[in-house]
Amino acid sequence: MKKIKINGKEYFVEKETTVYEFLKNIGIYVPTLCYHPYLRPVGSCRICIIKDRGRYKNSCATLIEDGMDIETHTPDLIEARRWILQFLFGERNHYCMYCAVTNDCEFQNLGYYVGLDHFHFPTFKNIFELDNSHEFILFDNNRCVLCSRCIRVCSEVGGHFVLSEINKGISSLIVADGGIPLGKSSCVSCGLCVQVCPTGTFIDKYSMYLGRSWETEKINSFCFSCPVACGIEIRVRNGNIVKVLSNWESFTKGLICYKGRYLSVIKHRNVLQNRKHFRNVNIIQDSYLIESIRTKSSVALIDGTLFNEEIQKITEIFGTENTYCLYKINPKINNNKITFDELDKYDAYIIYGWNLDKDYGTIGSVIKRNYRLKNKKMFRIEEVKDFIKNSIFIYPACFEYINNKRFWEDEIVLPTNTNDIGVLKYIGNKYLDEELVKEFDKIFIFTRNSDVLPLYEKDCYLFTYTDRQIEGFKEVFLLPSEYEIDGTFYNVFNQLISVKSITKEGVL
Amino acid sequence: MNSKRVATIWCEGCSGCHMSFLDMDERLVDLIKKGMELSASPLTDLKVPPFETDIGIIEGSVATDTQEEEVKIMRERCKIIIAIGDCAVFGGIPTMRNKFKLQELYNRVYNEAETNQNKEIPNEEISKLLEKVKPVNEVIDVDYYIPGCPPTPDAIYEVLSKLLEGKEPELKGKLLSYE
Ligand code: SF4
Ligand code: SF4
Ligand code: SF4
Ligand code: FES
Repeated sequence: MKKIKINGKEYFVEKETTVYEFLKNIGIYVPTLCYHPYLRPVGSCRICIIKDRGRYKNSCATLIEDGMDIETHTPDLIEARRWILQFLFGERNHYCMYCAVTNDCEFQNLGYYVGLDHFHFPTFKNIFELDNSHEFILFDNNRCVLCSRCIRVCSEVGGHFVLSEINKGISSLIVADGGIPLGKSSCVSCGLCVQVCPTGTFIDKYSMYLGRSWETEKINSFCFSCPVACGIEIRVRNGNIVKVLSNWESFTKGLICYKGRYLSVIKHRNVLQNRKHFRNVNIIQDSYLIESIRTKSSVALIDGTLFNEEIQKITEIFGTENTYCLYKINPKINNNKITFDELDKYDAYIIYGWNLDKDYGTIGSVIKRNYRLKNKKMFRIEEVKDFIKNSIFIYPACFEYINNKRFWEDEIVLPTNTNDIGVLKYIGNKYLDEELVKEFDKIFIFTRNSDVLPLYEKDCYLFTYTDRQIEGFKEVFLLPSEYEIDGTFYNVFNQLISVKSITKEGVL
Repeated sequence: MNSKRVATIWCEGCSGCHMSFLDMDERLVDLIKKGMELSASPLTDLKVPPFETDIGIIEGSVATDTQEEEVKIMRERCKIIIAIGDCAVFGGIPTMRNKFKLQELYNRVYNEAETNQNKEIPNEEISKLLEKVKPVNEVIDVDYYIPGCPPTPDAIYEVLSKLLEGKEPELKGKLLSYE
């Protein structure tokens, strides 16, 4: 138990906590910049300055000690904060009126908070080249305040270790892979740096000018792009998706990958543009339409890109006996029982047939950061000769890995499509090969993924989600996107996830 | 009544700040009742006030040798200087050219530009561009700042009315804006 004084009032503190966090809990506001609630504090910007027994300290990186006598808003502290901000606003380009994030900028808000009404120091001391090489991210070092949030989130949270700081003083700058264009670097496009940057240095090209954060509605949901189902926060304005952020409070604790952050929104926008070229069908609401085309001898082929409710409706229409998997599904995915949190507890990860950055990216993040920061082991299965204690074997279900001798303690089989586990639960492991399909006179294929599809000679109807024309079908119908309907699905950890429709169908 | 002379000048800016000044509408009458006596302004076509003035308002950044001159004369003739708008306060949009060398700009605008037929860099009877665009406080001392692009009429009114009443103005909340 520590006894401290804050602005003359006594407090007793039990937990180990920083001065800043304690002040926040008791409702005393101290401005911060390099501090981020989900990142390790570095105490570099000094804007959170306070006085303890007459000595200046940063509150974000100082732990509470017995006997502290803290002052938070004396005239000299207020003056100091104003000067610290003057230093930060100087030298580079903080001309808000031509910045994409103005009116939605943590750094600018600090200026307003301290009442900064002019620059004391000159600007544009060093002019850095604008980096426009990345597909989704605009990167302008001229607006950077060197808070290092981006470096910390890229490494400590994402496990990607792309960003770092080079040079000294006024020439310091943030670089990717030691100094190559972001678009050519090992960046995996998770967008975490954009999400935490308090300035207009990192900007999302796909959401700039579509709406400031405070103009958007915040909707917590889950990503449907892969079976991890990361917690996301969708920002919506007038029914349009402005951007997708990761949700720090969800089970994935702020992790996200390029699919959830960028690809699914971009595809959603493209499909909206193309909706008018197709007949739009919602399996649940428009089941009569499917009924009217269906004959007694029709078969439905489905995959894990559908929600449970859609699968259920299809089995109602066609009968469970006439509903089959579009592709072979590995039944071992049904045995997954490790949670996302538990992934952290292993000392060794054994991996097979999988690029950690491309698919199931946030599971990759956990493994990569544990490998780099906690000295845990990572193996490919070919390298494993003996049983490894406290290890987990992770591999995608599309690779049938047969091994009689188990070298690992636990395993996770990664489903190919988001809701493959749901498919197994509703229709079981049922696959029709091309010969048997011929026995039916009409074939109905339901899948949101139309990239690789089997083509049949029969009357074939496709219910899909696409932004392009698809040949070879009697008719192609367009399904709603994952943002447009209510639904549930099972993720790789066998959890039942539920999402709510957030935009009206067809709103652009 | 103790009247105060107010003069305004327009340097490297878009005149938006002067528009915002006029947007005070009926509150201008209010200010006149408080003692404001408008002397020189772009409307009178006097580049600078010809006599001693109480309050000098400068819109726009300093981008040419003439503007540098005018701003210095303002400082000499005015008791109080107010920099008004992002250009005067910070440098504003005109500072975008600070990313380039002056010669590069001349080339781009007068030699390479498709629309310029005679490919000639004007050099007579025209102010010289400074190598870098500067906010007013890099040339003279400034007493009060009203940032904003343009500042709201409310912010301008707050500052002028307080000064006319002999009080200290303070821009807070919505009155303080950088855009
Ligand atoms: S990053 Fe923020 S503070 Fe800097 S110019 Fe942009 S809006 Fe202004
Ligand atoms: S997008 Fe992700 S991987 Fe790329 S630099 Fe930013 S945080 Fe790192
Ligand atoms: S890019 Fe943004 S997050 Fe990274 S150091 Fe600069 S201001 Fe901070
Ligand atoms: S917020 Fe504490 S030092 Fe930056």
